[in-house]
Amino acid sequence: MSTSEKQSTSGIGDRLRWAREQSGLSQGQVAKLLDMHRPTVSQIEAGSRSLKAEEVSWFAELYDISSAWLLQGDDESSSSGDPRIQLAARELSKLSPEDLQTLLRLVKALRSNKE
Amino acid sequence: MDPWQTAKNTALRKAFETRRRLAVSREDPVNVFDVCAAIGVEVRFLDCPSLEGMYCREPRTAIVLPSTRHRPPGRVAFTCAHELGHHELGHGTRVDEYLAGGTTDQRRSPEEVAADVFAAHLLMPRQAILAAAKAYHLDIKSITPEQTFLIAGLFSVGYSALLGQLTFGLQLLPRGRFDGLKRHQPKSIRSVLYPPSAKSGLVVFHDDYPSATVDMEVGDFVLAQEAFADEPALLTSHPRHDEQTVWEAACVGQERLKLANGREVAIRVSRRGYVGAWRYRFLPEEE
Repeated sequence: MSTSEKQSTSGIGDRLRWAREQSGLSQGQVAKLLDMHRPTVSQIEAGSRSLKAEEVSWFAELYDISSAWLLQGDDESSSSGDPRIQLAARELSKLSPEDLQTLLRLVKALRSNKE
Repeated sequence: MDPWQTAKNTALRKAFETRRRLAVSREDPVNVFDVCAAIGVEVRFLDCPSLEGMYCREPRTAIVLPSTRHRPPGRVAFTCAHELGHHELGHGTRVDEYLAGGTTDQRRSPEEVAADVFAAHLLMPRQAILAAAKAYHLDIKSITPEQTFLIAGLFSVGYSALLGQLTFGLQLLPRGRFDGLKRHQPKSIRSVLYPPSAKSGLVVFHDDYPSATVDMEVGDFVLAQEAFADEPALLTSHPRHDEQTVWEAACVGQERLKLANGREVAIRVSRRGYVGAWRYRFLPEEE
């Protein structure tokens, strides 16, 4: 595997871990729901095992997250520049920068109504 | 008619229409998270202490709420109903910030006022409040802090939300009484009802009032007038207190309990301060 491929896989692994945590699931629960071994889930998140295309779809469906976001990350998401979300978020004076980042990341990652 | 009054009237009609659509009588309590699931609105809880709530229309219809690590469960439930109001009333994506009770309508947009009215009447319609008062044999005009807490629990809303609805939404409670009751803290009331519950949640079942599905967290306490017909799987028994049976939520999951009089209640237990999607909130942990 080339360096760029490794980075890409590791990026997906990080996003999968974040999406799992935001879904409220443990690695053990995911393993059971997807009929995988728990170490497999751990290896995928650590970036030490590659992902098949169908597995990306399974994770996306389980976490209700866009496949495109899982594969490409925050910058490539279709809703990343949604001005309404940015505006609504800016209007919220009480939202801390950290919370704003978490909220916007989740909104960008969510599967669309049409998926 | 001013825009705020028009928005309120629309919201009131929409709350009753939503109940009708889900075949829920105006006399019965509803679980707001079940309502969202039935309508197809995803609900997520985030570890975001500064977030009050968000309704997101695009890219996906979703409600995002703070975890109960950061807000009391009753307040989170009311906020969820408020965000659902934005959805049902056709509003766009919006992030809400908390405004303390007593803020005048004119300081808020008609859409925000409408979402509050929707939430209050979806969760606490007049007939349901009167039915609950009848079950407790109480006169709302002279309701005590403990009784207010118990009735709020029947509707899974916070103490303040119920007081607001009794006073401003339904005009069943005089303003002077409201001011007196507002001075009491739910934590102190829980201490009176069952002292160990001061630092957790407290659910009180009433034999003669139908419960919607009751959501609780590990460590919350349950009071019931009589023992359950079968041994609960998710609750552990504590010594009786003040002529009531006492239980503590011990593990994550869902079950139906049969009360002594034969009536069934559904309970769901989650981890404390759960962060995640609502649909996985009660999924038992794998060993």
